[in-house]
Amino acid sequence: MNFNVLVVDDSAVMRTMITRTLELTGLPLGDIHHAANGAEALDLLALHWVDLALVDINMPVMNGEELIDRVRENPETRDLSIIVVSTESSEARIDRIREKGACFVHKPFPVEVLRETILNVTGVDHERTTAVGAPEGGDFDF
Amino acid sequence: MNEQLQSVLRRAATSTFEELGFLFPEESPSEDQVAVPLAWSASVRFTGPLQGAIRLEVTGEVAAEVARNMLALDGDVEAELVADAVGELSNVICGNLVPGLGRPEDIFHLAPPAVTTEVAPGSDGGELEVTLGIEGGWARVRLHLHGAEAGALA
Repeated sequence: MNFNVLVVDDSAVMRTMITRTLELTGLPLGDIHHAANGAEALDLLALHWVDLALVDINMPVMNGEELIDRVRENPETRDLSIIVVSTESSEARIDRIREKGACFVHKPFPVEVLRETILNVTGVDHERTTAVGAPEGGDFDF
Repeated sequence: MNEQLQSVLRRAATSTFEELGFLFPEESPSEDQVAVPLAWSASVRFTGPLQGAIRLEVTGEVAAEVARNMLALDGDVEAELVADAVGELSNVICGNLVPGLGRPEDIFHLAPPAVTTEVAPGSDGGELEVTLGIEGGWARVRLHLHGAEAGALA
């Protein structure tokens, strides 16, 4: 089973960079969707099944925190695994993000940090993944 | 206070070019490097316990190289993507800077970067500035604090 991922960032360059980093993690990826703000992300979530969302905080139209609130309010998406990817450094704000059930990765981030955070937030068994390529057996439990 | 802030600003700028742009700045640009005109300017305003803005200015080829590195591309990159990359650089520099301006529990809000090819000549005063030599060009990052905090930069 592959991860379907939603990347939400108002910077097209950053969306590309995050996608590249995802591909370098060696985790099996399915569809990768892109959104430039929280509102676009909600539209995509209504149309596509997504296993994991990587979300920026400071975005126009709808910011990342509001997006997370809306995702958690919807029974169909409330259990979505979310990783916030941001320049945010305030411990108070990071704690608030974690209280919403999201993990946090500080920009910029190395591939290894993203990989480990994805495995932690999705609950995928570390031992069943390899550094590069698909896991043995081709299936995940999550 | 000034030296401390300058050190924080330099560290934020240098680490961002290295970790996001995959370029390795030198502490000071050479005469040849500063002879290259600055081509891009990106400003990020911030509010919180302190209010102010940072402005990143960078030469054209350095900006293009950052965009190429971030996008893993060779060759020419569209101006729109270069602008996006410069904006993201300034955003991350500011994000890395503001923790050094306050306490861990302080919350700063950063506005979206404003990017332009119009680079203002010289300084408008009351700013802290660092310059970095980067490959064939250079970059300048300025910190401007509003109100009473501006005295810290005097």
